[in-house]
Amino acid sequence: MAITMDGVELGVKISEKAAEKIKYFAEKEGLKDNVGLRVAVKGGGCSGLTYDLAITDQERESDKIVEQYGVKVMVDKKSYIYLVGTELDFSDGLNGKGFIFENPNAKKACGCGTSFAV
Amino acid sequence: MSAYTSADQDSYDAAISNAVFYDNSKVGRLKATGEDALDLINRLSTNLVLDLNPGQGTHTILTTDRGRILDVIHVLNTGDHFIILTSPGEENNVIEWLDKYTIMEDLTVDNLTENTSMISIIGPASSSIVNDVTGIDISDLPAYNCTQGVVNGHSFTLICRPFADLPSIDIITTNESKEYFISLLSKSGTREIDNSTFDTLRVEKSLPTYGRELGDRYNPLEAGLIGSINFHKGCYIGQEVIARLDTYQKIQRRLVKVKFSSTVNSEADCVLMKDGEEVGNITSFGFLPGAGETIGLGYIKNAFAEVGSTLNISNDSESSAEIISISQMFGPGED
Repeated sequence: MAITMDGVELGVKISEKAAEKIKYFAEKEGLKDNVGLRVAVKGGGCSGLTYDLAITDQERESDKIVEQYGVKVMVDKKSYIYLVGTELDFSDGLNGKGFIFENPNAKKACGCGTSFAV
Repeated sequence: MSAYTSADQDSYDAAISNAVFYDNSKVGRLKATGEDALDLINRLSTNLVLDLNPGQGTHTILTTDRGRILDVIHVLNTGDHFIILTSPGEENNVIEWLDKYTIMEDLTVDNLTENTSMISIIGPASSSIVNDVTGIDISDLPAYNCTQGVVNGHSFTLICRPFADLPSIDIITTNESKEYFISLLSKSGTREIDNSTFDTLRVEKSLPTYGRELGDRYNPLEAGLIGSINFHKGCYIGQEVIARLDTYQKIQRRLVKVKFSSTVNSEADCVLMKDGEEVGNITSFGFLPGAGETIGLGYIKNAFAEVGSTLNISNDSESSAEIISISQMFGPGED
């Protein structure tokens, strides 16, 4: 079931920089077509829920898929509930290198930012 | 308020010198199946459970994101499925907790507590008694490991689960087979102990129990459970808080065992004082009739938790309590 606001379906957005990095990692893994990032939520991490990322070209029938900047973000149905409205960026600044989640559902995050609570 | 328990002296002596058995069926028993069972429990608890091979098991603590104790559990790999032992009455809370964090994982948890029974054989002779009863030599079975068998059509699981420094073996079997094993244990001359004796043994051995010394008011370091925390395994719920408390030595209180100078009134809250300041409280009492000693477990402010220290008792000027040990249920932890 899609989650909407004012009739607009909410999904997971990615920044151009994140998309570039996804393409970069996909190329390193030998993937050229249908390149995407599978984003999931798992129990664990300091705060209770943690993000799980995988470069893939395999879509699943029940996936929520958003395509931006030439890459797909694939989210399974259950994880979608925790990720709806999330914006994914990539940082390579002094405070750390990696994907960054701006998740509006997260009420609390751990110090390293890799886990959250809703 | 603390419950007062008194041991039956003959039973207590038998546990220390030989072995006794106790109907421990109130301990929660869950059956977990699925490829992701260990991975999920590893992500939700303090100890390393990821690499448990068939027959192996360990203790671990489910903690909240505030680093408080949800429950202390034992996880065992039978080869076919995983057994999770919970604190008495906490099985449904553990199921709900696991279910809450099961998102994409392959995990099914069944509550077997009502449909099975558990008998604990406690004492130095427990291994040889279990051998006589089941025909299985478990003298070399490592702590927290398990094995399974069938005797005269009665299937069972044996779990080696030390009772502090006393050897202890749990027999898990069906409710129908429970009387068969109790009958064999009785015929072997093994004495059955009652709740009061079991609880006094527990206090004497500084073993915390849920609802008194364990629960979401306490963190594992305060409860002396550092031996069940793996500081190298990576993230789990509450890890950040627990690591910070350990690194910066921010523990506010510690679980200790005390010996009272005389019998105290356990019906009232027993508050411990030092120089007029409230420094702790007693959570469990026990009475050893042979020694004539009243003992207790309780939480004491860290600055006052020193072995040998004597504390006064609020509203009882006749008695005092001497700290005789700091609780460490699973040992001192990693170096």
